[in-house]
Amino acid sequence: MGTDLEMKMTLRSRFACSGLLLCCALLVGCGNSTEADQSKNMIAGMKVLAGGVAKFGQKRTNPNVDAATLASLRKILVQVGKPILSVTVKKTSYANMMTPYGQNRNVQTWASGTPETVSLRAGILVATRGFGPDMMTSDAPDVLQVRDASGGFHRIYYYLDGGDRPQSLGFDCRYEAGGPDSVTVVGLSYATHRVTEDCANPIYQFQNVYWFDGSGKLRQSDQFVSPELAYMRLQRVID
Amino acid sequence: MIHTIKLIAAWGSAAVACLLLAVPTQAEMRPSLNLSGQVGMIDMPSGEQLPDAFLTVNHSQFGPITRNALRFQITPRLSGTFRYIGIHEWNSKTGCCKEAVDKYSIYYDRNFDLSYQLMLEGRYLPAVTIGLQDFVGTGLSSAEYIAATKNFAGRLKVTAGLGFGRLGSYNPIGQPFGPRARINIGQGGNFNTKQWFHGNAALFGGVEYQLSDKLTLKAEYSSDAYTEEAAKRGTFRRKSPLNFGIEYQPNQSVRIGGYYMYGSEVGLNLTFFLDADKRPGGGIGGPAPEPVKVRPSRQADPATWSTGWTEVAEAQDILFGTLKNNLAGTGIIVESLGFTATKVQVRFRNTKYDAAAQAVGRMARALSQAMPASVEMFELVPVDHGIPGSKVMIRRSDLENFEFAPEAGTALRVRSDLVEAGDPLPNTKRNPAAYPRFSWSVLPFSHSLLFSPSNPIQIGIGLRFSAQYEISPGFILSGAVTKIGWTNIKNQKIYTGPGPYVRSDAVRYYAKADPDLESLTAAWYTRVAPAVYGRVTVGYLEEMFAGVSTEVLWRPVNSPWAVGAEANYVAQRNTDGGLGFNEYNYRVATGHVSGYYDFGRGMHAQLDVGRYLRGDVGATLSLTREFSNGWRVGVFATKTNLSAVDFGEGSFDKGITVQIPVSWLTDRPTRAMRPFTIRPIGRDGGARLFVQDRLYDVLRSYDATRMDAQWGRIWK
Repeated sequence: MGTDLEMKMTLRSRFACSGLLLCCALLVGCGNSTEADQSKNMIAGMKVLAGGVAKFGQKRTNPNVDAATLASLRKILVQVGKPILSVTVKKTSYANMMTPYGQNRNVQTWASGTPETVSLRAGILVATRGFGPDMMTSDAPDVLQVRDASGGFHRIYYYLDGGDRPQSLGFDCRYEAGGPDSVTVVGLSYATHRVTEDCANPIYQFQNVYWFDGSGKLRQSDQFVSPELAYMRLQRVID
Repeated sequence: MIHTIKLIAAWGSAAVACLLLAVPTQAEMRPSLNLSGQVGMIDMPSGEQLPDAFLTVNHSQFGPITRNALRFQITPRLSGTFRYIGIHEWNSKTGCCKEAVDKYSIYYDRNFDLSYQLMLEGRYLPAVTIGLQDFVGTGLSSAEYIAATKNFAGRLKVTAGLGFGRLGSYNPIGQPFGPRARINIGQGGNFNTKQWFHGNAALFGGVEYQLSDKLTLKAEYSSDAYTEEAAKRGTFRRKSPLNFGIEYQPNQSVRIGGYYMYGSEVGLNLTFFLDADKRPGGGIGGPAPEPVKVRPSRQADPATWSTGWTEVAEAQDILFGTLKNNLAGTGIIVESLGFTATKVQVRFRNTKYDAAAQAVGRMARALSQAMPASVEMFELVPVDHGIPGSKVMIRRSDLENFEFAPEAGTALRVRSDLVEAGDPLPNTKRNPAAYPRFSWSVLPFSHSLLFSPSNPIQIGIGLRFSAQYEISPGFILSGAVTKIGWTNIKNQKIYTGPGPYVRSDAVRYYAKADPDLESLTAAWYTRVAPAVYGRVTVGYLEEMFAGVSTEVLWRPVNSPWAVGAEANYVAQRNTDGGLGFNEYNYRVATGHVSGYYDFGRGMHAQLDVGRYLRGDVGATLSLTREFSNGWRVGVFATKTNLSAVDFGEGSFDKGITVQIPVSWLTDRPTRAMRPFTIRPIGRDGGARLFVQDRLYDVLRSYDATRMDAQWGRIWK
């Protein structure tokens, strides 16, 4: 009985969804001019919307992946023959593997086939692009200061607001050594020491967390990006 | 149009809800709208204003009275409201058809309001707003008020006010400024200045109490007697001056209220709020740019700095190929390129980015990838309709130095120059792949006839097939055909007085021309001299007129001023949407001298003086607020030597324009706009010829002010 009802609900919502998409398709039109460009954008927006609607009804799947799958994934990643960075943004369910793409002095820009890039200075996030509410640039601490968990730093993040005006957010940050911790990055376990960075201004506060491995390399970190995106987890998968 | 607004509100609410999560909630009571779409309590206004740039759409109903309002916070203290009201049961007591106003069982009226905040709320002092309601209308809704509002402890809000006109009609305390003069309504649309703040005055007031973050209780004492609606016409019974209500606001963009009104009726109010100044998703999305390619230092690698490449015969062709690869997916097309050993000038077309600065940034980074190391100066010239819009001069080393610098946008801007395009470099070569260029689209379109007393919403929807062929820079053939899918517009004569019917018959075209050859033109755009531009457009210019349109514009890139002149000779087309002219047999020479002024901070004025389509002579003043994200909200009014009687209802042409950039809705860069105009029934006086892509509109994005407003996008 319950199943039957569920089935009906699903069918009905599917019908409603496809009806919606059809209506949208009629609404937005097609072509190759600027005006038609808007239509493609609208369709993209509608797809995102439809995706959200679909997700809403889905049951959560088991996020655990078995060790064998991870091992074969790592094998494939090694074969790429390039350093690999895993980038995830929890808030937007974004996950990707990136390789080095550009270098401007000590800032390295990482990219993949998808339209996003992240720029790091020795592992510290200094800019993002392609995520929408991007971090345009930032005044970020030196990785050595973070690793040694010494003193404080005044961070400034630079953004563009919804009116394309430059905005900046300043934070006073303090570092604290958090002791040993073990992290697992795509099937490999690392003994690390953890450093936390507590940042606050009168409106916001956030905490960045860094895990440095035995060689002093920043293996994993959770770094604040922007109020809209919150944190980005960066994991160095292949050195 | 209403659909557009609803769509925006829906998008807005989703996005704003997301933003809320990041911003901690503060203990404050949001201002809300009353049933008339003004900031206020239930039926009465208050002393507050909404945040700057807020656009609200609301629909309310109580008893027989329906109101739809569009309100815009023009500046932090000044706001304007346009309202369309419908009163049902209009003839329930008086019977049908005695006077003109009783012709219809539902009485419809349009109102314009203005309100200005005299005093901001202080620690002890209240916020005080003075307002004019229905100040150019037929007078039925006319009122003036001054109201004061004070917040207490972030939960309680108390308002007291003094009303005149309608708002002074219940339990008046006297006539502090003398009697109210009777007005001659005539065709409506006049400023009733002699009435303002005269006649009976009455007190009104109320309290608002915030129960929780989302729920607010309201109670008020109304000074509106509803003399016409209740006492005279009996459309409802006004038993009490007290109104009570509860409102629910789940997020920043929507609020709904339910009320018990005047001791007898139930009321409802639905409001959508949106902030024109902020894209709901925050920063614009879209693919990341290519990074800047940094040159090796001259000492480390002297060979890359050699200038031998300038001797290569096919240098440009090689560069066209490289740039094409680097610009893949950006919608930027290189039109021409010239260079010296240390300088490159590239002229390019931007088909994608709503912000010219973003296109400039993408082009500059592509040049950093493509150009040999010796080239230090990048001259970037965006071209639109074949016309070079302006020239941005960026040093390549600045691009390299500031890519990850703090305040990278400002840092780059102060070291760059934005000037008139000037001439191309001597060895400039055209990109053979840039022309000819064909583009097409099939998009929905709509015709509408709004505010007609017999049927206020008449609309036709269908598809528009457009195509454009750019033969060479500035020489453009284009055409559009429309086909109606659904319509409730009937072939009717809106105005039966003396002709010519240059706009009032638009509805006949809407009804008859299907399919309609909407336009078919050949246009030529050119830069005549530094800062002087010209246009000639020939053919079927618009649905109702065909002929020749010529224009010249003087527009310095770094000046707030621009001046233009347009001369046209046109014939009125047949209503069947075909090629003929014999139906009206009307020909007219029309044209304007136009002045444009940018006051800064997005405030923009345009004055057009000249001869309109009916042969009447006069002027149009348009005031627009333009936001850096591309939103434009404006008002316009046209007065010509045509008498108010000959003009008909409304006395002169006026309206509200709203242009919504599609990028605002989708958070993806696109140059497309969704413009719509709210204006009373199309009349023949003050009607201007519609010509696609007038020079000022084409070039405006490349002015220093517009470029600077969106300069941050150069690094996107």
